[in-house]
Amino acid sequence: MKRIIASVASIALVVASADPLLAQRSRGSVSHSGGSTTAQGAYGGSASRNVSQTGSGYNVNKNVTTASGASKSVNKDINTQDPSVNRTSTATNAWGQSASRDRTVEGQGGYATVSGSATTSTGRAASAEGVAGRNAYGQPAYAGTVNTKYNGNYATAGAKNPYGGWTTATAGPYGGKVTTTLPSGYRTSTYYGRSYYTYGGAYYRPYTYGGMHYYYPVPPPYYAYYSTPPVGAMMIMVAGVAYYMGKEGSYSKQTTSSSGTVVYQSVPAPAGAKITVLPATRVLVTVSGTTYYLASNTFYRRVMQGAQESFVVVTAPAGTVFVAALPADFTVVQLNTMYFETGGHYYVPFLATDGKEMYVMVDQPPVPAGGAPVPAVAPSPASASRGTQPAAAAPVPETAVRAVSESLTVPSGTLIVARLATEVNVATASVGDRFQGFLDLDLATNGRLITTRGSHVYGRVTAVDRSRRVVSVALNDISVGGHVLQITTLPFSAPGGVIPAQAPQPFTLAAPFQVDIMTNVAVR
Amino acid sequence: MKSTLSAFVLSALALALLAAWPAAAQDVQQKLEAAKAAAARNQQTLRSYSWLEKTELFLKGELKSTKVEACQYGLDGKVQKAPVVEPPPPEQKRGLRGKVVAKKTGEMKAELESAAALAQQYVPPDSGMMQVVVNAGTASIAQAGPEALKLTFPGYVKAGDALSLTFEKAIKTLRQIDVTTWLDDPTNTVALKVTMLALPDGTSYPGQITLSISKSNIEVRITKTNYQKLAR
Repeated sequence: MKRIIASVASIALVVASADPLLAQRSRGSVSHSGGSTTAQGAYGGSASRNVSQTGSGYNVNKNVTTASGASKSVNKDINTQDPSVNRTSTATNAWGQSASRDRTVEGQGGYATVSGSATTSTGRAASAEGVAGRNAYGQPAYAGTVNTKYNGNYATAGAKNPYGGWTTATAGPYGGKVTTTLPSGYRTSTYYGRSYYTYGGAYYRPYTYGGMHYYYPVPPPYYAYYSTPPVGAMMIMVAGVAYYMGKEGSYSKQTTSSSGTVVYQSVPAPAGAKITVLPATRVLVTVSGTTYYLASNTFYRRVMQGAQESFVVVTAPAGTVFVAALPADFTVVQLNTMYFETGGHYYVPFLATDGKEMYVMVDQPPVPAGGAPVPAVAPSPASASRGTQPAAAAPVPETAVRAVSESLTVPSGTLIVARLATEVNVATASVGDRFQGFLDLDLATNGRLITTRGSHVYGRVTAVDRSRRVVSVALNDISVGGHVLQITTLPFSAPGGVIPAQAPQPFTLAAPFQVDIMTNVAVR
Repeated sequence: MKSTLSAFVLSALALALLAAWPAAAQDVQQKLEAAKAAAARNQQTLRSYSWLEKTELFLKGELKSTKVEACQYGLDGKVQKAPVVEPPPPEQKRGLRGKVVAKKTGEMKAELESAAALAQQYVPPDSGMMQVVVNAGTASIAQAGPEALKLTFPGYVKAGDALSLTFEKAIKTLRQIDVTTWLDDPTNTVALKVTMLALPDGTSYPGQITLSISKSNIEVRITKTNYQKLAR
């Protein structure tokens, strides 16, 4: 929705920048010729409008260019026989950023169907469809859905008020999307020593698949703060405390910040909370013959009271299979939420209440109408061929897995490629100065993934020689699975006495270090 | 160096040994077959990994540039490299000093290229050339530690050079290749050392490659680390 607002705002800016142009028409020139009108602004802006008759209606073409270089062009095909209107427009600001929109309105007798899409040069995209007409009071009204590239899907409706203005309602988002690029303007936050990427209220975590980096949507990490409750949140009272459950199933509660303002904090779901409708992103987890529902790191059990169905928050049932790391051969399946599939088992990401990032083995997702689950991103040939088989017929291995802790040694000589958060400059640095950064590449050794790209690293300046313009730094700590481990790397120095921020730098491990990672083993 | 290094080396070695010591021919033939199969498996397994390759250039012991590349095998069977960390572009110096720097850099580059071309005459080793050394009676086998054998082939390409291969005792796994040779005169020695390392699943790979040129005091170190299984 923010993107739509941004698009509208950018168009409004273009229009706003065109206003002075229109005001100065009297000092410029206006000419008419047949169906064309051309206006030339006194300070270099121009506007033109061309209307021509077509076989089935009219075509209107408008172009506005401002002196600053911003422009907007609109092409409208009006079919008076269908009737329908096709409208395409492109707005470009003075910095070359553009937004293109495409909209089709078809009259259906009494109401109209509207479908369209919008893309921006910065990579954002959305599509929408809905209906528009007049409500019982004769006011214009619309209802429809918006599907955004980064922020999930929204349902939206609105009607014009009799005395001006609009009343609108929006529900969503329903599920973020797996993406290879984060939207411009995203922010990085750290929880439990891990990086989360946020944009428009959605949180993402990185993962690597087939050598490519992706980002998958996750529920907000626990103890993140918001200034307002999540969009469409529902209040649930548990033991006299009010909780707010967002549409995607995350819980938060009201608290007070250190400055005394009211804020909302993401918290683990309170056991015993009862809801009647499960979030759309729920998955099924069957343990010892009982099926539970899992949504946003929360387990629910179905309860029937007479004919009334409800779902109660429960702790993770004993026997649930949690794994700390997935084998490298997983594939990604995007249905109502994102699943990782490996060895015939399906997993979803899970954030434990103590901040441990894990995966839960869940039931095979239901087959959507029209076929088997489709891998969302870059499927391997093997998984693609599996995808053509009916999922119900796919044999599910009976092997169970359980998570065990494994101690690994990361040998000396291992490369740690990291980006520094701030520049280290020989002119200002002193020996002992601390800095932090984050991994630019997954840290792997001996065929095993130790920690993912984005994990935090911490280091110090080890040497400064201003006469030779040499500054050396080394890493002291690394965050692995929420734990900060001490490491020793060889001093690293860059030519010119400057180690720039946000540029990958190679650090070589000078001494081995031990790390305990969870791994899944087969139980027969 | 090349991923098929072990297979080439073991085949060449076995051929040379067969000709030199007929009594041991059958035993060596069996070892050869086993070694070739192991090398083929190793090669196949290695394709399922990605790794980082760090190339460092030292001049007179001082690190001049570092390059890090992410590597993995492509569908064509060749190693594909993507730069991760690249050395910053050299500072352009003007005037006489600039010309001197440009000349020195050109000379260094030419010398490195010559050294690399020379190294390729030794790695992977050629069975015919090893045979020549064996026939001349100058090849030698020696213990290199309690569990290793070192085979040395002096005069492999030219007088005064030597190629040494270090194996574990059963001659199944190559551990190290050492080459000592010279570039344009015997005083300008070039040394190449390839150290083979193994992953926990037994897959071996050339973990460290060092090429040094004595006269110009240039050393190139290539280190391969961070092996990670690729998604199938």
